[in-house]
Amino acid sequence: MSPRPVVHQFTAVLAGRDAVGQHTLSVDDLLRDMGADTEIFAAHVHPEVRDRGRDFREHGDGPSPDLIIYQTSIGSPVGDYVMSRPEPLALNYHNMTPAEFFDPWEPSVAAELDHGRRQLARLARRADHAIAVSQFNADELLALGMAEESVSVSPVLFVPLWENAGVGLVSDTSPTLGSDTSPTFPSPTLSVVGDSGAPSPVTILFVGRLSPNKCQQDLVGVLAGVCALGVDARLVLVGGVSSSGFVDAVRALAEGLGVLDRVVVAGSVSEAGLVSAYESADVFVSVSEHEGFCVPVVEALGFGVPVVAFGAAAVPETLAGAGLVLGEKSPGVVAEAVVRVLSDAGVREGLVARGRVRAGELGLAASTERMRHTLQPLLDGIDR
Amino acid sequence: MSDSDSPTTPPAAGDHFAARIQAEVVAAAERRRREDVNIARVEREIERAWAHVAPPGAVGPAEELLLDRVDRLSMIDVDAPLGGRPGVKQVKGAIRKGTYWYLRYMSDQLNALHNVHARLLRRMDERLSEVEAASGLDARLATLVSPAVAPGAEIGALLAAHLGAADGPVVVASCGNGECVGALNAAGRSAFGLDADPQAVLAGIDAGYDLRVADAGHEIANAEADSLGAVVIGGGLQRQAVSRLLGLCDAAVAAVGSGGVVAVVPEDAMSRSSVDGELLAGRGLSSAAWLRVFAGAGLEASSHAHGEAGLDAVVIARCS
Repeated sequence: MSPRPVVHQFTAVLAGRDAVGQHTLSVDDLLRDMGADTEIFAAHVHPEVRDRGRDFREHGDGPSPDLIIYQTSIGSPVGDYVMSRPEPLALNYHNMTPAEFFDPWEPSVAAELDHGRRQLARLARRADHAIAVSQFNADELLALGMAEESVSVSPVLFVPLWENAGVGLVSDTSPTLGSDTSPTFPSPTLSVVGDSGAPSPVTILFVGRLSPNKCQQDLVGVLAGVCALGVDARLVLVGGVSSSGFVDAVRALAEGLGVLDRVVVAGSVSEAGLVSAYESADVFVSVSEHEGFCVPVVEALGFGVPVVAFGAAAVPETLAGAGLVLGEKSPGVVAEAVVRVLSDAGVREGLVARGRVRAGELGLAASTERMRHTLQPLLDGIDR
Repeated sequence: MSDSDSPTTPPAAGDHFAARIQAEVVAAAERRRREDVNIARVEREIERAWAHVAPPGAVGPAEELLLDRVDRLSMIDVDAPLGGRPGVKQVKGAIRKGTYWYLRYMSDQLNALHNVHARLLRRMDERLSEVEAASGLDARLATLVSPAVAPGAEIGALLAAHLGAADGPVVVASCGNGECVGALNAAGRSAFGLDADPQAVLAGIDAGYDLRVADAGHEIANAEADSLGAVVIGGGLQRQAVSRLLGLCDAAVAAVGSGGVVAVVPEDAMSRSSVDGELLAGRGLSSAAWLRVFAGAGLEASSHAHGEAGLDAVVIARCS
């Protein structure tokens, strides 16, 4: 009987709640299910998953694996370490934000991102295989010189929050940009300024770090555009902060446009808070300019929230016709799309129905099967 | 590996729904901009407000910022930190002294080379901007001239009769309301249309044709080789500089590959109004000129008369 293959995964940060962390843990589960002995190594292991990962600096002390999989998402000393190892190396590429986005805001972060991109080029030369989470990411690896037959595409594995939803609205302590009030997430209804009965405002949701590449400033512009069209709306931004200067500028923009009290910055929320945000949203809008996959878009689809998105990077590929993808993101056009989705039941229902199908296609079960088919040849190719 | 979503890829069944709504939304936004001065004012106000609060480089073209970055990254400093711990400081200091003279020489050479590169890039950027400004059909001019005439059903039928064994989908660039696409479909051809003007395609989408709002030139340029059966280039796409038209022709030939067909439906410059004639002077080629272009590319091309107003004879080139 041949011994079980040994596969070690490496990642810069192992956390239970971020997309790369969830993916790493899911791949670990899958590899074990496929008969491999596995371990995860990281530069930083969050306490919540301490039992699942070890510090990568301890790796050299143990026996050598048959295969190393490196979850590639940022520049890290872990990347240098895996390149120094003699074992076969497979990259699982989640993409890296181009430094240009951070240049005007955080030059030091831009320098780190530059470092990450240079490291990626070296990793692409060293790696034997690569699994990209989107075709967009695969194209980047091909552009770096990887052979087409060495690169495959398999989506991100993440916990489908919508399958465990229905927990009800959760109170939230998220402040608006302009006040310290504690807004809740109201039920979806389209309300028009001046209507009698004072219905609650519609909620435009975006989930993702407050970061220049996500372009939350354009969402504030869209909010102003929607309000200019006579719709009583608010913008809910969920996600941590990548640049405080950027957040300050977004706040100043909201103030300048007179919509400061309509912008809710929820920050990094609990899982229940995130479920509540999706359940309370009327429309999910993304005007991000760089996404390697965009898990929140899929989550919105899963929760039955119609999606309006600027068609940049991997977003059109992830949506695959299940959302309204726009070729431009001027506030007038995106606002028009938002109002159309909110006011036209046929459009909304059509998008929601297509969205649920797409979320199923990218759900954990389907994506795990795809990843299994992608990993099997790598395990079969191990020389034991 | 599969290709990512691209308008030149035949869409899945569900794609028409989103494409139709997208076209309607863009058309509605443009209509509203024209009719409601308040919307246009709000858009300008948003742009101004962001420019006011964002740092330099975060708004508008970032080329200058990028070149600044080249300058910054190109500086190599050989003065490595020495460290403060006893022993380490002395060892590092000795290594630095031993190698400094040579590293310094190399870094000076590299920095000088990088600085020259950065200066050259700046000059090239300036010159490129001037060339673009001189040759491009800018947005303001596009709003002043009459819309281009799109090929209609008669031309569609004519094309269908001459496509022969060309295998693969037919793309009609600058398709307008899609009558040409409809005629190709009626003749049993798998065809879809591309047009940058959402207003123009709405009626065709309503009629059930597969029309998509996209920059046709960009899509043809980025289409995979041999992925299309035929490319039909309508008049709207021909209102650009001759050098770009030649590039478009090359891209179309590559996209259809051997056995494919590239057809051009030129605008009839002689039938333009005097105002359009002046504003579009030098824009677009006649059928005779296209015949010469195709001949120069080594393709067998022929000219076909038709009865549609405002359009010159259709030129059909077969790739072998």
